[in-house]
Amino acid sequence: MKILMVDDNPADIDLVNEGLRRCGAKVELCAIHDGIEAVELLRGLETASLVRLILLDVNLPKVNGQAVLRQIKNDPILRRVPVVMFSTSRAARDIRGSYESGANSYVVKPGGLKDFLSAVRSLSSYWLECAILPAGSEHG
Amino acid sequence: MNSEYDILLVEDSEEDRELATHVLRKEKLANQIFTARDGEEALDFVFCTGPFSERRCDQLPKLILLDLKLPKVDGIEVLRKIKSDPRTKVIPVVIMTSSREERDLVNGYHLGANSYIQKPVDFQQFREVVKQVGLYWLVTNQAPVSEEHAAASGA
Repeated sequence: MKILMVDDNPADIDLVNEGLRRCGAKVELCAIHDGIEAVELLRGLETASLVRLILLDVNLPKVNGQAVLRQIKNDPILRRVPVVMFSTSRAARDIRGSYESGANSYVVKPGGLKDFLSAVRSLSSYWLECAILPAGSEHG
Repeated sequence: MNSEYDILLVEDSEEDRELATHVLRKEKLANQIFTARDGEEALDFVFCTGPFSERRCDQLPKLILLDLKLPKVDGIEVLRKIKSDPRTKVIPVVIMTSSREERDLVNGYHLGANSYIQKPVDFQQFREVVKQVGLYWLVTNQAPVSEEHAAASGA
């Protein structure tokens, strides 16, 4: 199973990888650093069909997270892939705006290492073990 | 009427309603839980119509747990109405159903369901799933604040 993480901070990507490894999640984390690249990758159907969950930062270079989110949620095939906004922003505008654009969930990145890893554990146990994700889009 | 609800639980099975409510309260995940027995009651609650016309409509529940097979108005129609109205589309809606049909899953996500959970038949597993759902959506997830609250906080 592939998870796509769109984040311009390499340290956060490393931490998510570490968190997933610690909880034994059998996933491949595919990381992308800016919004344009993310949209291009998702438009490539072969790859899109393998991505089951997207972790998307709000503040990104080139194209911001909410614009990427809107592109995903306006696409008839991609829109079914759950998008979890994963950002340090606690601004009500970012949170509400994300839901308005169709985000499935919004998780604030905790500052401390321990809390960050426990947020990853929570994300992993909910989305990868509890929730049912749509199969790759080739089934649709 | 106190309308500051944590959860709107839409479920026609009395047993499932009672068990889910019990688990969410016992785990201290939610105190104010409103339960609706059918799709019509759920929509009246959310849109403050019919018996709920006195409810303050700007106070959105933090989470809606929605069964699909419901009397009067089915769950997919409830989802469609909530997600196509700008006032209510921001409320996280988690489908919780015994349906194993791929069509319901894809259709649910397509219409904007925030997540999809399969209700286990086993009692213990059901308890555990309700707990996991409550933990994620009420502790880990950040629910949207209402427009007025957002304006008041200067955001």
